[in-house]
Amino acid sequence: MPAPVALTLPVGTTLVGLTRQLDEDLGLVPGPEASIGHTWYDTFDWRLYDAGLVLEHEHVDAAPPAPAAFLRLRRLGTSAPVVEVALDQVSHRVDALPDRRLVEQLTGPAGNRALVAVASSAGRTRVHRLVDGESKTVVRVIVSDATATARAERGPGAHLLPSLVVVPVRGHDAEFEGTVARLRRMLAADAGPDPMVVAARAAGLEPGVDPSRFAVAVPAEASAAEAIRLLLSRLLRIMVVNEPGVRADLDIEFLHDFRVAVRRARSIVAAAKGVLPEERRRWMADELRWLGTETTPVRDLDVTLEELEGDDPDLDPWRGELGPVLDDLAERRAVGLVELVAALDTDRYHRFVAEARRFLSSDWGKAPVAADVFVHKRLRRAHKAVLELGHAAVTPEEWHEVRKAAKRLRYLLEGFRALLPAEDTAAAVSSLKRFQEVLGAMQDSVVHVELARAAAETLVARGATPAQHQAAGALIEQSLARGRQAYARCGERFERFSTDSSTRRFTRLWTVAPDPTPDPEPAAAPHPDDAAAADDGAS
Amino acid sequence: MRVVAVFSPKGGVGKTSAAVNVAHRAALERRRVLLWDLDPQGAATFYLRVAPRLDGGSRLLVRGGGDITGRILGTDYEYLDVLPSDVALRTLDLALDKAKGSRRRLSKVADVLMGEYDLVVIDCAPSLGLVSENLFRAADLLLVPVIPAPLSVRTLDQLDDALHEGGLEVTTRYFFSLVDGRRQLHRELMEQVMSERDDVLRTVIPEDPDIELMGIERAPVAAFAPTSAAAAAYAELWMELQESLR
Repeated sequence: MPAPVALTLPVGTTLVGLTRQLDEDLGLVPGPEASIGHTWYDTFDWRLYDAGLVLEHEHVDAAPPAPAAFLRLRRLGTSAPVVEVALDQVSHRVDALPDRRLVEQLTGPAGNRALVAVASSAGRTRVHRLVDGESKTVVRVIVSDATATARAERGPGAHLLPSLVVVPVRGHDAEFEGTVARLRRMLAADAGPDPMVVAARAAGLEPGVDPSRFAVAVPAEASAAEAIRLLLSRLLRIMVVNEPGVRADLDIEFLHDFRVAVRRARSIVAAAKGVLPEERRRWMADELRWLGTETTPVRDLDVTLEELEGDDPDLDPWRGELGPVLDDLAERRAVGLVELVAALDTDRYHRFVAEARRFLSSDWGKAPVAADVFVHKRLRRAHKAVLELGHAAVTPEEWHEVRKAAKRLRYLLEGFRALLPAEDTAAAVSSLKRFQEVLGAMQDSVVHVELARAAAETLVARGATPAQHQAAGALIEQSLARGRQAYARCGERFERFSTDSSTRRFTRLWTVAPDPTPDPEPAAAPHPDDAAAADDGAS
Repeated sequence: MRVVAVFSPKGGVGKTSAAVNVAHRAALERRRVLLWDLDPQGAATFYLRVAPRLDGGSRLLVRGGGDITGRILGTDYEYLDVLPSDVALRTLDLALDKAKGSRRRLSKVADVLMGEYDLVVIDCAPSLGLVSENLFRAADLLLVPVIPAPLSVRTLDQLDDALHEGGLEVTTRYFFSLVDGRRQLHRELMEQVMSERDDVLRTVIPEDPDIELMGIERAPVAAFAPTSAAAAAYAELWMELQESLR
């Protein structure tokens, strides 16, 4: 059987005129008009869209007890469902959906992310039928007229053009093909974008563009101040859009993205000495450091719990006895989340967001320094710092300092990517990521050990069984062993990072500088906070 | 895919009405449903406004294979298709008798439909023979309407015996049909049977003029009288049936 064909109608088409045309010119039999609503779900970062999937919740007029709401999974640009079930409420968690087929189809693409409503529309629909000599339907033409619902901050909703879907009826392919051809001729209509894409755009969202993505098109001719303003504004926006997901605890990635935005902002603020007004720069540094501190406990617990609840075979012998440890960590996380939300409810946080917005849109009154000159100098210094610290590093604590310096270098590369040669930048970021994997594993093990020890102490107080004690002990020992393994690989990974060819590649990043201009940064001792800008919690 | 055969050795007990209305009700929930009309009288096909013609007739069903899918037709209802009846199906018993593996031929037809449908509802002719034995093997569940009258109630035991003698293990669910709640005999018979057996569904289909109107409207009850008592009863029957299909 052929697939349904969706046609987008020309601008100016009205539902009344279209209905008359269908009935008079094509001889279709109109059905009753009914209300219809759609809410489209995806992960916050559009993972379903990226996988070519659309998850839509449809509300229809229905006489009880017939169901009035359905959840349909379909492929982008098509209307035939892959899976469709009657369902009143859509859960945020994929694994809580009540249909096994839906869970199987969505688990891979969605990963650990929650489902969130990304767009919605409401309107009217009518089915027009082409019938045969027995008055039986042989083709359906579904006409809908809807208004996309905008998010409150984006003003009124946008009216969508009437849409038309021609649906084949089994055993009547010829009538279907004929109807599609006649409609194309009659209405000058053709396939348009998926209604989800149209509704999302009407609501101010661009499907496929991750709201947490830190890609800022810094113009080549921008001053350092303009570049920093763009970057910090983007990072503040990332924090703000992730905040509701953090508060609602929809999935752990909201906090991760919020926290990475804080950390990146700290690095940029630290690097912006001489560009931002110093008093405001220190104020932002202090507030971002506070936010980093507030988010650390929950994020550390998220990373630890994710590892313990994963499918690590090394933990299999102890899995049966690790329940109390997991419970204790989950309780700590619940407490931590309450404290984090309380921090986000404080005047301090609201004032920070409001004042940062004002500051980022105000006149800083500084002489312009070219952004590329600024970033070339910062990159050279940041790279030099990584090399110096790496060559001198021996102890885990010293390697931790190397990790922080490497993060500062990476954040600069990522933030100012638009001003740097693309291929060398990508290769440099990639080599930093590989180096940081080992350094991150070492730091993660420190966090895991601390948390596992705390949980073990709680178990003692609660009178756990010997087997549970043993499991907690094994967990601590295993984390320590992993930390030792990572530590043992730091030197080797640093050698790979600091080869002559790698250094030449980094050097190319700042040797394509334009005419030299004065250094925007005065030679001064660093603020204690600047050195700590890449914070030391779990990644 | 689940296969429900709506069957009774007796005619005129509300079998076709149940098959059409249960199939329609499942389709309203957007399950992909095929109504397979195996009764040569073709009443279910008629109700769905389809001409009772199955090119190839009995031989097509006996031969099985993918040809069968080309004979399926859509209906006025999205998600509800029909494999039409044909008067030639009156010789299906004979055709099956001549075929090898004659007791599993219809199971093979059902296998071809796997993946295309969530539910296949078969409207069966009222007789016990080779066709019904095929159906007992093909179905996940036998749905048997029973009129609350002494002779009709005997069919429960007759069917039990037939299944037992044939060594057939198929889940069977009975339900009372054409019930007149005002009649004491109906009430007492239903109470007695329900107290004695655990395979009788609680849903009762009333004797209702809206069900008779199906032949005039050529539509399931819920399509032209969605708020009627009959539509509600079939909705309840479908809900209860789903419990048994789990």
